[in-house]
Amino acid sequence: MKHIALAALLACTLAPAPALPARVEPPAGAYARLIRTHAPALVTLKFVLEAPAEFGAGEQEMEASGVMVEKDGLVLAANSQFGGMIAMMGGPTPAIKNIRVLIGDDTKGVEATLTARDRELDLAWIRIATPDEAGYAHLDLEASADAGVGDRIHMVSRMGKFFDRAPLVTEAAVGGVTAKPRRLLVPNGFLLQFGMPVFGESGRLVGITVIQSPSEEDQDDSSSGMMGETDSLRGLILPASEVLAATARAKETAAAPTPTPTPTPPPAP
Amino acid sequence: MKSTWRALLSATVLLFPAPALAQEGPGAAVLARAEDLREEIRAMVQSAKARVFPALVNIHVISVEYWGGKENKSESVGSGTIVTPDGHILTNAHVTNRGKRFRVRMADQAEVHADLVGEDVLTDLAVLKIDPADLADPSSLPVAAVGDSSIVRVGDTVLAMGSPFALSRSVTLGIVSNTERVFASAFSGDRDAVDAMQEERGERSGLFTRWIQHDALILPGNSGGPLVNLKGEVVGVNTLGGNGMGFASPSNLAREVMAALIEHGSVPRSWIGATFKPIERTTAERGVLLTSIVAGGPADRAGLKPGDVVTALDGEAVNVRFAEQIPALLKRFADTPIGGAVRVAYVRGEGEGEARLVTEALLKDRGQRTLLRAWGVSIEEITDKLARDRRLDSKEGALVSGVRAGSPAALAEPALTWGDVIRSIDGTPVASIDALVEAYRSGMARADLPEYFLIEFDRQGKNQLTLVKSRPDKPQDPPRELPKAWIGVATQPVGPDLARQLGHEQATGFRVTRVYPGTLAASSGLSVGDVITAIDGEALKVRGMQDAGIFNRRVRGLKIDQTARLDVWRAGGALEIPVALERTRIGTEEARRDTNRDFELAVRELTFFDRDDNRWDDSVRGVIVLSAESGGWASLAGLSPGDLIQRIGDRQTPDLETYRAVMDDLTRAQPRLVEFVVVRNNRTFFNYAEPEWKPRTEAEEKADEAHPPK
Repeated sequence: MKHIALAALLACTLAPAPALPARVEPPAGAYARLIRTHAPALVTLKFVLEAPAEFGAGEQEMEASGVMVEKDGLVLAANSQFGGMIAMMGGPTPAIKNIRVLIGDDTKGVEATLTARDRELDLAWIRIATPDEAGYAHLDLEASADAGVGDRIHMVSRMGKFFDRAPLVTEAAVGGVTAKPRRLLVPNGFLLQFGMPVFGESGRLVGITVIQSPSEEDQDDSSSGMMGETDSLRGLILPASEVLAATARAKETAAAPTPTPTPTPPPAP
Repeated sequence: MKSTWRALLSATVLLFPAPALAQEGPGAAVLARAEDLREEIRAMVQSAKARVFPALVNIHVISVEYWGGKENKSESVGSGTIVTPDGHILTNAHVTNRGKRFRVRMADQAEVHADLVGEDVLTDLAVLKIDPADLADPSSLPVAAVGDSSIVRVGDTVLAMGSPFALSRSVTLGIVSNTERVFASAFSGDRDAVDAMQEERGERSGLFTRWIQHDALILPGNSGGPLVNLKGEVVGVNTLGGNGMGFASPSNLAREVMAALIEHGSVPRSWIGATFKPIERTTAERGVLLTSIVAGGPADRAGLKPGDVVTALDGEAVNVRFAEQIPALLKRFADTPIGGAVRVAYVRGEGEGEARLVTEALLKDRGQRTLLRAWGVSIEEITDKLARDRRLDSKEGALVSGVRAGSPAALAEPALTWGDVIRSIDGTPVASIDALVEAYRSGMARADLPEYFLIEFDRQGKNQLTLVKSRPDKPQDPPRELPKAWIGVATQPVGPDLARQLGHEQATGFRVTRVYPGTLAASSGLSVGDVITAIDGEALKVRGMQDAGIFNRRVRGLKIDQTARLDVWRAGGALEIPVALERTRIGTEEARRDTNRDFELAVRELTFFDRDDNRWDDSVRGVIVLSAESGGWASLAGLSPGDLIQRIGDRQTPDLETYRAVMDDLTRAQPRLVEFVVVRNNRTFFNYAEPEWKPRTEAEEKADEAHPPK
């Protein structure tokens, strides 16, 4: 069943996005403003992934998208891009090394470390090892807004290396909202880049695109899980408020001492 | 011999009894004769076996190959025969090929180390040597007699001896089917008949061999074992087999090659730089057709040309009509002293001529191979043959035979790839593989190690440059998972149907299936069988299996170190149980790891869930094997994923830090044998590795002087 999920992902990747419903044209210059304001914070992450044996053991260089969320070099990305998909397919999470953050159309990048992740929310945080003193253009997670069914949304992302990572706005509308496993905005088209910011019509951050897949505890042996295959592999939008809270926890976690793997429990209260 | 024929004929009759006999029943005389023959055959086989078996050995080889930018080790087995009182063992070159270590198991099961004396790929023969002093009784080294293969005839009965599939020694019986088998290309008339045979991994083999073909069964593991006549003499070395056919190198060829290997370590041969084709199905009536000439080689310098028909060598007529005659011709040239002259008479068109051909030394088809480990590049020496095959302009530099994915060479832009020829490093030309390795070593030993090395290479005739990072990045510890609240229980959802059966229809929720020992949940009073119906007063509404994740998700939404109030149904009654929330325990994904390059062994920390899965209490300590790369020393020692390493040598490895310290000390001390004590399926295993330690740098030696190993 998990292999079917992979096939579905590939199919989704290849399939054209469905046509949007009739809509009011955006105000002139709205797309340009989104790009001008937010594209500088978008980064490319290059890294080496050590695939486990059952997924063709070996190291391979990969790229992911992310967004700078703090001036001092904290990058937010979707964990599924760091081998998280392999884990979703039931395999072990692969080791990641040699992470470099490429800003804009930079080709060399700066060294960085994957400091924390939340597999449940599909978020990962990467920190630049030696940040530029001048700081980096970044996305303000606090300047956010909520969105509901029918609201128009815009994802800002970058194209690939071949196109010099040209910035791009993809427009959709909120087609639904889930309550389980958590509150997620469901775009009515496929948003196929993960870890990318999505903005509302006000231009404020609505959320980040993520993948949500049934965890092991949600799996039912007799079915494909709590969501259909295409549901679990489409880009969903994790609300900005949850992203903000998780980022605060991620910073605390990265700063805290490493816990022991087999701790002695604290005394009962 | 006559009695042998009688015996074999009778044996055939016994296998296919005539219908008439079956109806009337054999006479007493026939039965008696059959019994006599059976005894006679057995006696002959036993006699031959008794003469050879004591000298028959099983050879265990650890081989190292370099390709794909990695060092690839493997284990293989073959057979061999002790043929001199000094302990020389005759076997196949494909048994010893790329071997780093050889162990020989004797007839009495004693196992001793063997050294490679030499190998000759062209005849697929090799010689190993054991030291008789290593044996319990050095004076009683068994030696098999090597017979004369020239008197072997088609139909002779032969025995194949060896260790098929590494099983203990065995013997099979057959007859000689052909004494001059040549692997000619029967269906491709345009190709050179002999050059087309057996070219494996760029190395030609069998060019000088007219094989003894027989039908005594040989299987993998028989390679290198003796083909024996009924007198108990070795008349061949079994080399190839399959589909009911076996092929052995004749003992006379083997004897000759062995003598050269013992004397020189190799077989000196001449090379003329030409290939031949038999004249059958050509327009020539006598001689042998010259098909190709290596530019600049001896035949070329002598003025010979493709299409010439060679009719005489040193005044002696040459007539090669069939492929079977080619090996003898090639051997004649090969046996000419290196640098010796041969008068070649030839016909060219309507005219005739004579050339004076001066031979050169025949060089190996394939040269050295090694690894530039830090860059992830395996390289190979450019031999004459390799240069010709790959149409290279020269033999300078070294050929890239592979690049490890994710290595500095693979991540370079442009990345190095298979087939590239490295020409220089940081501006220093590298004329040979030795020069390249030296440039690499000296570059990597620099105190001011540069971030990148500038590599110049040729790719398909184009000269290019790239920058290769001097060292691969170190693996990073796995990222931290955001800690969340956790209650140390496993649960199953209880939907309305199950709740009804349990007698509390309205109380859907989660039934506790396990309370993890050593957790706050265990000390809270929760028990297996409890049904948790609400958390902090909020009901857990479960409709079926699709809601299986609700309990843990709800808990994860609470805060660590707070107390959750659980409404619980137990034995038909409701109660409230406060449970202190803990941090989620570190799982295998988050456990820190270590990778040791010497042993190609990756391990990780032992986690709470490992303990629970294996029912290990707190006294069980160690590190878990994540992977032991196939062919690595740890893998060869028998370590496998999931093993819990508890001790290495006499030192315990209770945690990752101690394990790392022990492995660091091993790297410095470089012991011959390393003992790993592991727990697997709750049984203890003792595994022994014999790593090949890399030579240590001066800097490492100095570091040890400052901090000697424990």
